[in-house]
Amino acid sequence: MEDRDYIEAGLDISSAEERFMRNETIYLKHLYKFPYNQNYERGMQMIREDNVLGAFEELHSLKGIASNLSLVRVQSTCSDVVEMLRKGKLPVQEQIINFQDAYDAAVQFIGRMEKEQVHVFD
Amino acid sequence: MERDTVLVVDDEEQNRDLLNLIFEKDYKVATCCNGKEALEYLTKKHRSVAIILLDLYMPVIDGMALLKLLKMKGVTKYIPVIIITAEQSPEKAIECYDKGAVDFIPKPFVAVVVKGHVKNIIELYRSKHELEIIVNQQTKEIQEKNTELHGYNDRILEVMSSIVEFRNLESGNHIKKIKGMTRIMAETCNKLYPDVYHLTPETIEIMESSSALHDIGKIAISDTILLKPGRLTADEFEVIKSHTTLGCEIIKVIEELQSKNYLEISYNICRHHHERYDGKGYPDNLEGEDIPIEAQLVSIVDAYESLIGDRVYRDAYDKDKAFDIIMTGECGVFSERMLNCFSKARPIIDAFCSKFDD
Repeated sequence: MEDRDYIEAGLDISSAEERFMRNETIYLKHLYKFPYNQNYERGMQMIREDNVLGAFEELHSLKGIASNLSLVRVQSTCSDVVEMLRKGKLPVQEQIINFQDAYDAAVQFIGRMEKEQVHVFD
Repeated sequence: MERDTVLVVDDEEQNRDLLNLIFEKDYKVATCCNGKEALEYLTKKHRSVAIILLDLYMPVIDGMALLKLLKMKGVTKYIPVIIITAEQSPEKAIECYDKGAVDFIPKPFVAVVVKGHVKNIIELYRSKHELEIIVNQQTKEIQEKNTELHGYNDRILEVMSSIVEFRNLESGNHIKKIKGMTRIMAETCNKLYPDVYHLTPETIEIMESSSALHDIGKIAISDTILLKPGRLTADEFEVIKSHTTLGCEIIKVIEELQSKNYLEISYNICRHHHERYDGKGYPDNLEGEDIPIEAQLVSIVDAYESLIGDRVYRDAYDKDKAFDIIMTGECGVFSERMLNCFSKARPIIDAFCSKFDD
């Protein structure tokens, strides 16, 4: 995989490398668990049910996990949604779509990385 | 026990792993999944914890509730807490600082920055703790020196008072008796009239010591008058009376030996221990409660001690007679309160004085 592949997928490998002290095994262990994280599904379901507080708690957790993994696009779009929820409001359609797109792209890319057994830290 | 453990409290495995990775080379790392687990851990091992890295949103007991509890129990005074959270609102950061956090680090964080914060804060708390130990030790030493110094001062003052005793041909135990009786009277007074005189243990201590100086002015009275076996002339009596004013002049001279409280109390005792409640005493004819309480106490004690002791001009009275003389005002008027205290304290006073009987 090329650097631009990571950039396009919204993954900032260099900051992840620094944060995980260059320990690729642990980084990838958590990165590959990301698609199975339940916060996204539960958070989106709560938004559909107008449960603002519940959605805030779920997506706030997801935002933290994405931040640590340097999934910058998921983190950024999730943050927009979380800030709306913090104000007690449901996110607008555009924010939800951006977030879903970023999340789907990240999950798809992580699946590809796992399949190709990539090495991410030089 | 050395504080060498970084305690990570976070419900996300990923965060626990990540922080463990960052700190495992420099510290021991312990992890807890929520506030309840952290409390249980701290109950057993708080002495080993150097710092707590705390997430905010967790099940069971969340980070904010735990932080509040730790502050309330005083734990945050000796274990610093850093909040590490995806939360980025300044209001939340302010709330965390208010509740006792020393730092607030938003995610995503840079590992070297977190390491730097943690290292500095641990060092700061270690230095603070070491300083506290040094200050406590020094305070203890100063208190001990102070006590020692007070002891020396007390002895100097006692020696000065003893000089008066010997010149006055009084018993060597006169000062000891006056001191002990003053304490007994002051403690009785404090029990019976706590709201009137407000005597603290420290004040009582000073009154007891200062009472030794009540007759210090007699140093300046000539032997011919002081030791005259017969009746004094009116002029001679005036000279004797001047021992009160001479005494407080001496007190002023030795003020460096004493604290401000000590100086004031010993001055009042020297000057006013011959005042009487009806204003017929000397040297200032003070009346009623214008007479300082310390002088009232020493006054009644001095009168009783004088009556039950032999003097160059008369033999001792027996204790019952001496008690009557005091109570009926034959040797001058004392306040109702002093007489009540004296009456209640008499058994203790007599038991105390009997220790000095030959």
